Amino acid sequence: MKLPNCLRRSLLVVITLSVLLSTLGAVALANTKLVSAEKQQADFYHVLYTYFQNDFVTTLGLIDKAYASHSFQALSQDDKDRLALMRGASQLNLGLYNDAQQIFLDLLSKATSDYVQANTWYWLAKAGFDNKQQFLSEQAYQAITQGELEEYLEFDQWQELSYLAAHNRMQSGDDWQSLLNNIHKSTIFPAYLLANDATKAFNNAEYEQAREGFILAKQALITHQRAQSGVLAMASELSRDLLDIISPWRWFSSDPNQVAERRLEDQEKQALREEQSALFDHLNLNLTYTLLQQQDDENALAVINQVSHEGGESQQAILTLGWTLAQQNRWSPAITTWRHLRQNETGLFGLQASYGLAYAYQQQGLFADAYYALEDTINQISESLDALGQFKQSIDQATFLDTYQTQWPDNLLDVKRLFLSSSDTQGDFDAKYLLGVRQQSVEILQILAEKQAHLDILNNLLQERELAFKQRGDSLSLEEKKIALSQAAKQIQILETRLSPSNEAQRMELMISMLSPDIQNHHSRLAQAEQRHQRLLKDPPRGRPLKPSYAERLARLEGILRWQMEYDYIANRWQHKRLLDNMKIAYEQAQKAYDSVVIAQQDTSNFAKEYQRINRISGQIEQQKVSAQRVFETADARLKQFLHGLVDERVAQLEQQYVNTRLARIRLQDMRGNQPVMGNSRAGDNP
Amino acid sequence: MRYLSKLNPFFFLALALFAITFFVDAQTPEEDDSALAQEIETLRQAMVNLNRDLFILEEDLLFPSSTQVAVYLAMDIGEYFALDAVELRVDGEVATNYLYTERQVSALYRGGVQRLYVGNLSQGEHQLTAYFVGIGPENREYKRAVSLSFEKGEDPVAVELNIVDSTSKQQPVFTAKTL
Repeated sequence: MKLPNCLRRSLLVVITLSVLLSTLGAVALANTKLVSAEKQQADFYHVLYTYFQNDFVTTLGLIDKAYASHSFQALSQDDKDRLALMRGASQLNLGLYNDAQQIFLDLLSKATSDYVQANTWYWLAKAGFDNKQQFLSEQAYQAITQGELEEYLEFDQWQELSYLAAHNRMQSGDDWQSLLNNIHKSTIFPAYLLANDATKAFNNAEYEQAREGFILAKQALITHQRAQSGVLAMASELSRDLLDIISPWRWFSSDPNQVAERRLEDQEKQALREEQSALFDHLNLNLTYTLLQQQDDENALAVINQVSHEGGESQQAILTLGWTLAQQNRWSPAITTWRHLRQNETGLFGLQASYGLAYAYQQQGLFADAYYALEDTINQISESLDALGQFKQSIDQATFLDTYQTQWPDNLLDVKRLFLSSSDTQGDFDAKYLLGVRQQSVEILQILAEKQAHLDILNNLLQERELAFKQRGDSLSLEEKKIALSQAAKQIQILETRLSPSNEAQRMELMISMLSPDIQNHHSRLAQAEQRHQRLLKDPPRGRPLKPSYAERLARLEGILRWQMEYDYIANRWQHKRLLDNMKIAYEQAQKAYDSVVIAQQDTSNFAKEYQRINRISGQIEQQKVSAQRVFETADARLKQFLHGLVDERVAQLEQQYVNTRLARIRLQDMRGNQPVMGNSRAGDNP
Repeated sequence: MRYLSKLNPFFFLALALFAITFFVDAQTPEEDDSALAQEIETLRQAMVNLNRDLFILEEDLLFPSSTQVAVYLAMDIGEYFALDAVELRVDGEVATNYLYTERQVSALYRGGVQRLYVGNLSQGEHQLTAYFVGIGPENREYKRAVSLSFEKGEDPVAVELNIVDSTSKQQPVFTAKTL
């Protein structure tokens, strides 16, 4: 084997091995590298994108992930502030008021851009409102107006902030009307502010002011509704035009994003309509009460008829209207009002209407009618007591509060209203809030179950990957690579020895082995010539001596060749040594890559680390399940306890009324015995 | 977030002389609502953390850094191009088709960058092609493509597609680069 070929082949083998092993070991060698500034920017704007999609959970996840990777070091301070603002706003949207508020306060404690200042104040005001610190809205409003930062807020944000500040001023008795003038009439906020102001006047017995206030609030609401319907119609028209422009295949698009977004828009529109409707009812009811206080019965009746029956408040208003008329000794309209209520309502309002009718008939001297009305009342009380008994049993069912909206008995809807509005009268119990907490805990438990299922999938995935990794490792014939590396090492050793001759014979041998093919050819021809020359010298039959010039010529050629060999030897040896050095480097790289692969093959710590992460998250899920279950049980128990209390109270009241009604009936019988019968008694009646 | 005041409840009591009272005494709650509020907020925070951990774990498992390729899309003002859809091909194979909603396009206009695609690729040379579909100048249908060759090594690769308005050309310009 010639030395150059041997060296080149060995080098090729070692380099190939090195490349192969490096590729195999790439997974194991993946390390955290510096993240480019451009990638950091992209991560920042990706956060911005998800934030604008209202995907707040993903927004927080992306921020945390990017912080773990590169901490957004390449970002400007302003962008970092905006990132903090997005984090706070996302937290606030997810109901994490305290954390959000802390972020906003931190941002305000340092110098930030006008945009960040304005938006931080806005979000702080919102967080404060949710966190029962409404004074923050005034602070925010003042800070923005004094700093002339309005332009950095969007129109809706500025309107909302003005509303919050006006509300806060109204509560503290300060000038809120000036802020009302700043709020655009197309928003719903003026209606709320005017309604609250009118309510305040009503509670202060300033009924004329209250009446005007409620009428203004209704007008403001109508203005808002008209503006909204105009905007929605325009948006709908625009959207249709846009669809006409865009390529026809989109008409048949079943893109889930579009569907989901349209659904979301529909839900928002529906929620807006419901809000408007509820506010309209609220205003009409309050206006009715105000008109009743002003003894304007006709208008009160006209207004009460505009209230939808779904809320259950109109019955209360009609009943109250009857008693107001009775107080004024206006018995005929009072009887008409109660009769209307009795005919149209079951449950408490029907019962109280018949009771009122009995009272009115008795005052009119219509004893027979009064008697039958009392009979009717007694029957209704009995039915109500039975219904309450059954209802009390159903409360204890585990699913009662999940289905109460649809399962609540029709004749006990007043109890439902009382239950849901309990926060109005009791400051330390808020049924709606507790129902919300209970619902949230149910949803959290569902989400936790889904997360656990998701985690199980990831766990399976990891197991499969571990198995595949093991199989791949087993299929790798590392033993062959090891033998090849060992052979390469031996080869290097041999070549190194050959390139460092210790005597003249070895040196000569090395010199010859390194000769170029031409020189080697010349060398062998010279050797042949010398042999022929020797043979001719010893050839006796020839009989004549050879010319000495042949020997001289051969000696001269030998000298030239030797000189050439010596001359090439230095360069050749240097070149071979360089090749050998390259080979050693390649060998070392191959050995390193081989070691990495061996380590990666034997090292399962990566999988162990991932399993640890999965187990840790699984532990968190279990822990949160326990917490959510505890919250659920607490809220559930308190709600049911309160509802039982309401029912017991109602039962006690009805039982008392039952006794009173029977006594009234006996008294009426006594009175009938002393007076002539009047009224529309039915034939054959014999009470 | 709106607040609506209620009428004074004693008003009803005064009027409904004979009617039974509609308001019952409160039962003393065993626990304060604020404690429950704190607990539910802690739970919400824990849920956010859980979501984050799962999100990161899933990405780490599904898209290891040694094979991960992510494609981002950024957009300029959009005066000359209204984005409708993007088709992304990697090495000739369709990687994703994405139709944009108004909200998403709006988020892009406002500076957001969308992660259009994330996937796994082997190490070596790859070719990425993105086709943009939408409405171009003069309200005409517009379809353009941009290509990029890139080398996938041990580190994750991030590619940014950019749609920029060129005022000099009065046309949208589409670019692609690795980050």
